[in-house]
This record gives sequence, structure tokens and C-alpha cells, in this order.
Amino acid sequence: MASGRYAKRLQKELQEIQKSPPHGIMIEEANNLDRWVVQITGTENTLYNGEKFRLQFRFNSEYPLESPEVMFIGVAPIHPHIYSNGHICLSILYDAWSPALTVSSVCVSILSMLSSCTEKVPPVDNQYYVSRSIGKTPKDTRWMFHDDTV
Amino acid sequence: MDDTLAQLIDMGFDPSVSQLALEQTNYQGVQQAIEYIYGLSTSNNLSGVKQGSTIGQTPPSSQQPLQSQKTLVDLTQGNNNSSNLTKTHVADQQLTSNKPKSQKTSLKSSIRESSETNSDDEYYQDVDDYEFDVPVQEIFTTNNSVIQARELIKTALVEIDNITNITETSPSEATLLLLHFQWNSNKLLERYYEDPDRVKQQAGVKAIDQYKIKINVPGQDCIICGDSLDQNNGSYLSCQHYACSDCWDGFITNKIKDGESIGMTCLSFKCTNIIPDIFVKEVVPKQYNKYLERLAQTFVDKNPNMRWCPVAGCGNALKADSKAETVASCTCGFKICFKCNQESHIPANCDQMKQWKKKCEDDSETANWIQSNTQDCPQCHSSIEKNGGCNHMTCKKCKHEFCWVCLGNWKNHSKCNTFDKDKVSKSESKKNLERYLFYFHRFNIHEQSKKFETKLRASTLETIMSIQNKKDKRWIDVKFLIQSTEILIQCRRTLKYTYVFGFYLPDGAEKNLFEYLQNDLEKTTEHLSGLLEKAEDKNIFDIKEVTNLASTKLRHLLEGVEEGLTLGGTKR
Repeated sequence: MASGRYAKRLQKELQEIQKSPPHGIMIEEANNLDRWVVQITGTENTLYNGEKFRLQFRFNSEYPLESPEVMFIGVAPIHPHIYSNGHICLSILYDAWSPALTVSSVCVSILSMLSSCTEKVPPVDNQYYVSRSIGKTPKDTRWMFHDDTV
Repeated sequence: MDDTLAQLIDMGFDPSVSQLALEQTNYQGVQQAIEYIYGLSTSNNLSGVKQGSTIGQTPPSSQQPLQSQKTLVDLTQGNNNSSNLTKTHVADQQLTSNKPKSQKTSLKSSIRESSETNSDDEYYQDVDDYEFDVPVQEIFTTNNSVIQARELIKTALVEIDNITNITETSPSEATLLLLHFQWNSNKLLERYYEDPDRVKQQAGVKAIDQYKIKINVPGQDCIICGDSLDQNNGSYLSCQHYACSDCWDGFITNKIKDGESIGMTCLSFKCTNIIPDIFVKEVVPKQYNKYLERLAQTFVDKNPNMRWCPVAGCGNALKADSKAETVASCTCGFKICFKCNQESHIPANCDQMKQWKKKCEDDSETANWIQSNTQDCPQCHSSIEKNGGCNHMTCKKCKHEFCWVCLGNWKNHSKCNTFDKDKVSKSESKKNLERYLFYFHRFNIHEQSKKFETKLRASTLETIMSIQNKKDKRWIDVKFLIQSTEILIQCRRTLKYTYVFGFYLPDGAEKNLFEYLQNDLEKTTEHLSGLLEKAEDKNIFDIKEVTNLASTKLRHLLEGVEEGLTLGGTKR
């Protein structure tokens, strides 16, 4: 039953996102139901205007009751909440996850997080965090969400 | 024959004593047997030291045996003359076993019993009786209570049920009310009758909005799985976030599993509508009892004086009876620090532990690497990582040329293979790191030993059984092994944290004394550990002795730390 929900829901999301993709969001790879790659493009008139980044989504069979594992692959944007290893400090990906959220709503949230950024700086503890989380997924981290406004 | 035996037993004699007496008197009759027993004990009386008989006992049915027993108690109480033990041990031991109240005598009798079995009489004559009378010492006398999880939840559920009925609220609302009044239901009801609405508002009880369960919602899909909701499978709260019953089930089950109960909100993103109890009950009937349990658990969760035992699968709750109390022990053997909710870490304090943990996190990974991969430039002391095979190094910073192997000046350099301990020079940072590693290493070793020794807990029972079976010892004689194991674990845990304490203790007289006590405890602990690992009947007396020794050393160390070492040191 659970796996049925997971497959059905992802199929449905895929169809919708392909039918009417939100602005700046494009599915790059979704051959498997457990790993998607989504390309996002920085919004106009923001610091990331036109820059392209790749987001990797990993789902387990508890999705959407459990959150997907989301991180940047390739070059990650320089942003106070994004670590250089691609991990993203965003509450909705962890504690504040709701099963009503979707891949596309997550992408929109991340884009808006980029858009509201006023200075391209890495997180203060970037080096420390990155060195400590080698080989770990962002879901292993106990995130503290300092500031939701950026 | 059996009749006489039965009669004797009826009179209050121990079955085995009676049997023996009958055998010795060739089954002549009850009277003879009693006389035999009586005669044995009175003959002892001649050499026994007289003492007032003060020990309470269950009187046998006839006057005679009572008399004889009293004398026996006197005898065992005051008997320092072990030479006549051998003569009398049979009757003595067996008679006293009539009277289980006095552990002292039973312990003594056990010694005699064993002398009976291995007939090693001389050995027992040499033994100082007094030694065995000392019960194994308890080191910590904490007065915290341990509350069994089942009890606790039952009590809390009754309380919730009670308030639910009186105030006509739902269980979660009743829990909110109870929490607001810190589970003082009398106070709650008093205030509640004065002004129900105000109390409810203060406690955060919100009116239940409308909700629909398992109805047909034509034209809507489940926001979770996307199924259409036209088959009486749609449920929603007043916020109208439609979802099918299956998805609600999965969602609520997950939440309950994560420990949520009060204030569980709608599954939609950032929706703050609270899911009412009745909704849980009807949509996820299987989980409803679990849900109520979670409500009951808030009794501990929100109580500043209570903690859950952090051991996986234990589930007991610990309660500190006074605010001053910082250490509580659970029946599962775990000791917790009430302040920081971690394993009890005396003698180190919570702040030191915090610092220590951070240090371990920061240093442990890099430390190993630095130690194995870098050396300091002998001239400017900057850390240097070698990036090639050649051992002729040139420091990037000060251009000093030196040999990687012996750290000597490269020019005129020879005798690179001779050990010269004066030459070992190290930078400050590296010294610090080494100091830390020294303490960390020992901290770790004790932790590992403790892990092994915790496993002894399980095997101790088996050991006790096997000693009992093999050597005819009684439970009461060997059960102290359980305590010994506990004391060993306590010593280990304390030793582990003494290295944290020691790390932060500045050099000086205090530290010297501390290290002396630490070393002392360490030795005794190792001794005890070795003995316990191969516990057998031959060394149980040793074990008891070393247990008490360890217990004393541990107490000295802890008292010393508590009272200030140098002060405590001069006192002793």
C-alpha cells in the first residue's frame, strides 16, 4: 500500500511538472522513481539571475509521508544557507516537511530562498560542516534553523 | 518413619536437620531426635560466648526447640572462636536456616555449609569470620524513585480519564488541563469549577472545529496520494485539506511513532489546525491506544523532576525527589545526570562534559591525521605535511632545511638512526594535542571496558547458578556477585569520567592527589574486573573483598572531589 502511494504520487507529480513546469524549473532526469535531477535557473533581477544549478532528489518508499533527500549536485550556489557540498539548510526539507509538499513546491521554495538573498556568501560554518559531513546525507544532520528570512 | 519426620517439621525444625537427627538417632522417635538436636546445641553452649538474644525469630511450636534455637543464635552471633566450628557446623547451620530473617547468621552458616561439602576444615579455621559478615557496600545512596513505565502510563491514563469525565472534555484536552496544573487534579478541578472557560483558555484548549470523516468528496483528490475521494474515503478538518483515509492513517501513525500527541496538526503544509482526538480515534482506530499512551507520557515529558531512562527499550521513568539531586539510577542499571540528561559523569561536571564533547568532535578526526602525517619544523615550529618521498625537507615558511626522519639539520647530518630522547622537541599545539590524546585514549579505554563489563550483568546470573549447582552454595551466599558487577560498572563509569575531570584539572597538589586516588581505583577496578570475569566458587571470598575495596576507593575518590581534594586529603 505504502509503495503504491509512493509510485502513484511520483508519477502524478512528474506528469504535472512536465505538463506545466513552474518558471525556472525543469526536470532533467526522472527515469527512476528513487532519484530525480531537477535543473533550476536563477530568477531575473536577483543575484543568481540566469545561473543554472542542479538539484538531486532521492525518494524512499515512505515518500511523501517522509521528506525526500534534497541537495545540490555539481556546483552549488554560494548562499548563506547552502553548504559547498550541496547540503541545504531549509526547514521544510527536514523538520517542517509536510506530505502535502511536492518536488515542484520544494524547488519553488529553494528558488525563492535564492531570490531573497542579498549577499553571496557561504555559511559561516561552511568549512567545519563540510569536513564533518563527508559521506553523509543531509538528512543525517540535525539542522538548526537560525533564520527563515534569508 | 515419615510420620516422625513430619512431626519434627511441624514443630518448626528444618527438614534436613530433622532428617539428620533421625538418622543419627536411628529413627527411635521424635523425642530422641529432639534431644539429639538439643544436645548438640547445648554442648556448643559451653564454648560459645554468651550474648543477649535479641534477634526476632519465628517461634517453633514447642518450647524446647525455641530454647535451643536461642542458644544457637547467641552462639553464631558472638562466636569468634572458630575452632569449634568444625564440630558443630552441621546442626548449627541447619538450625539457623530456620530463621531466614537474620542475614548475618545465614551468611555465616553458609560458610559452615561449604565446609561441610569440601571438608576443608583447616581452611575455615584460618578464616577471619568477621570479614564475611560485612555486607557488600553500596556506594551511592540516591533516593530517587524509579517508576516502571507500565505503572506510570496506567496512572496517568486513569488521571486523564478521570478529568475527561468530570470536565466533559476529550483526552487531549484533559491532558492539556492537567499539564497546565502540573498534574495536580485537585487544584485543576477547584479552578475549573470557578471558571471553566477561563481555565480552558489558559491551558490552551481550543474549541474543536468541524471535521468530516470517511465521506464522499466528489471532484476532489487526496492531496497526498492523488486518489479521487468519491468512494466515502475522504476525511478533512475545517481547513478543508482533503486526504484519503489511508494517507491520514499513514500520516498520523508516523506522527505518533515520532512521539507526537498533543497539538498534532493537519497534514497540509504550515496548516495549524489541530487534529482532535475523535478524528484520530475514527480514522486510525489501531493507533488510538498508542495515542492515549503518548498523552500519558507527557506526564514525564513536561515534568521538570522526571526523566525517561535513556536506555533503548527500558522505558522507565526516573524521578528526583529533591532539586539538589543530580544523579538518578534506573533499575536497568543506568545512571543518569539529571541536569544534562546524559549518562552520569561524576566527577566531571556538565560544563566540562560539554567542552569535552566538543573537543572530541573537533579533534578526534583531525588529531589522528595530524599525528600521522605532519611534523613541526624544528626551527619555526609550524606544522608541515610531507608531500613527497624525499626526506630532505625545506620549510616553506623559514626555508630551514632539515631531515624528516630525525628532524636534525640537513647539513652535516648523520646518526639519523640513533635514538636521542633529548632531541624530541615539539610545538605547543602538538603538545596540547598529545595531552588531549592521552586523556582521550584512557577515556575511551574505560568506555570500552565498561561495554564489556555491562555484558557481565547477563552472565553473572549464570555464574551464580553454576556455582550454586556445583558447590551446593546457596543463593544468598553468592548473590552479592550481582552487586559486585554493578560496583564494577560504577567504577568503570567513574574512571572514564575522571579523565575528563583530570583533563580540566590544573596541575598542582590537588591534581597529584587526584591522580593518586584515580590510580588506586584503577588498579582495584582492574583486579575486580579480572576476578569477576572468571568468577568461580574458589574466589568468591576474594571477589567480595575486592568489591568492598573498590567500593571504598570509589567513595574516597568521589568524596575527595566533592569536598575539595587537598582539604579532604589532609583530613584523611
